Amino acid sequence: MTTIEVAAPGMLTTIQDLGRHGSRSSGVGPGGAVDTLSHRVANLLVGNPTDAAALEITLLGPRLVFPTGAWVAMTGAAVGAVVVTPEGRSIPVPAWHPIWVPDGATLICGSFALHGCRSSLAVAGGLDVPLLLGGRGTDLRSGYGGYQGRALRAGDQIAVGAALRKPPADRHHVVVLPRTVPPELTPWPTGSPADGAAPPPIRVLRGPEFDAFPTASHEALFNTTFVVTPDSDRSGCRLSGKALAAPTMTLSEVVVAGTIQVPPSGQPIVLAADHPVTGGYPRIAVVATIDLPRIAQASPGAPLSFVEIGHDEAQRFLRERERTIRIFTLGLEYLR
Amino acid sequence: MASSLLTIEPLGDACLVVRFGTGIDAVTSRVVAAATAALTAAALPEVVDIAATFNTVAVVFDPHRADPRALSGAILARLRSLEGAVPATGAIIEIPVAYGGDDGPDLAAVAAHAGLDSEAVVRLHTTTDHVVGMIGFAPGFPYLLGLPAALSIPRRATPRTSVPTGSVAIAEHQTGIYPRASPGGWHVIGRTPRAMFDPRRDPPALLRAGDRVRFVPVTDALRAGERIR
Repeated sequence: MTTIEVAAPGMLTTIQDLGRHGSRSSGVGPGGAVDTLSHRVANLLVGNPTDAAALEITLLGPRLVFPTGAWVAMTGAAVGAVVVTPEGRSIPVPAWHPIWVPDGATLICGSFALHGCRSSLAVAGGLDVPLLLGGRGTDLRSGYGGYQGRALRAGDQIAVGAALRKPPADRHHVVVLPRTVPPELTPWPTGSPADGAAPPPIRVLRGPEFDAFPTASHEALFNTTFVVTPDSDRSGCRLSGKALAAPTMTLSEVVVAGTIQVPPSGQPIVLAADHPVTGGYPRIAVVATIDLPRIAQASPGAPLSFVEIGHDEAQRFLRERERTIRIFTLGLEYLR
Repeated sequence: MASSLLTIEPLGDACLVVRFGTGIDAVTSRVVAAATAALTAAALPEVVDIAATFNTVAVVFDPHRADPRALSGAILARLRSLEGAVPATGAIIEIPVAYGGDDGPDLAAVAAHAGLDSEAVVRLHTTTDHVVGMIGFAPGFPYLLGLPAALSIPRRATPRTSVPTGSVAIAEHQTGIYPRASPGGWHVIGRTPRAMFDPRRDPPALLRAGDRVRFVPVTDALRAGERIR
């Protein structure tokens, strides 16, 4: 059994997978990785099933010691990383590539360069933590799942499952395989904000209470550039901008990731992985699944705007991306 | 089942919500429970999860696999087979509660608001059948319908920053039970030692929508035996 030792935990590093499903009637929300696309791609890069448990790193990365070598891959936000070999050589390693971390080396993930706020770090074999309610992810609020129900701390020893991908012929040196991830499979398909490209608006579908909102609120939703506030977390991305007048709700209703709720303050909240199962605020819109990774990567201070799309478009975008994932996955077979 | 009152609406591109009218009552809760059970038993392959509220059942699906129109048809077909059936009343589950004192710091205030003494409040609360309207807010938190009108009370003006695990609290026309310590704006009248939620249990929540609940006052002897956690 191989393990990873946590030398430094970073700001908020948790074990996540693709969430718990099947317990909403008991009040258990999905949880799991906020950026599920980056999570899936990271796992594919190291030969794991897409739902294997991996690390979700927030804003500042951890320092991890690998007593036994392992294939790893980082995706999502652009985190600068370095592998320090047992001989003391520091080798910078890029995100979005499969990387072999040699026996006894340390992986140091830095702070996030310019954009994004969450990185997925997958290890070949997957992180081996107990399955609970159908998931291995950490539920921070309830204090269960993942690594003892909490964020990682220095000194933690994380077990790693058996890797499907074999070590390289020379396991004592850092290996960086070529990048094959197409831009469509990143949260920034049209170019990263660092390139100066204006981010396209987030695509949303009308929410169940859309018609109960006054026209002025519809106009404000689609014509305002909102800013992500620092109190955003795994349960939701909180926005600040023009206040939207909102109707009152009499009953709590079901919510899903991407639901845009408008509380009495008029400042919208876009729900993310750790959302509760139900909510009492009117739902003006719901982010299309295709753009959930962009919400996941919206760091405090980032601008966000919204545009309405229809259900057929939402489905078509998703189908196109899934086709891209299938082609990418087939291509990876040749790397083995 | 009155399917004429049933509508299906999308919630984004990965969830369909079946709505059973606009009411909030025990009958609607039983209909919702029956629909939840039927859709769970159907085990439609593209369905990922099912959630229920007072008057809706939400079907969360995998948008990569499902065609929402076809799924909507499949859901309607399953619910149509329930038509005409009288939804069963839920199981009765007894919940022991230590009322008043440190366990129920708001019991006296609730009694004053109702113009009753504390014993009468406990009697009213324990001689009524409550029905689980939905589980939400936090894992395992039940919203119970059936609070006697005499006990109806607005939420606290200032919510408590922390309400202990197991607190039984009332507000408006409902009773709730806090599965874990959390902030709360309801009036805490007692506390139960029963674990409302345990992630190692299947299902993890003690109660399900549609269940009937009877609160049983805990005597001092029981209080000593079954320790409040």
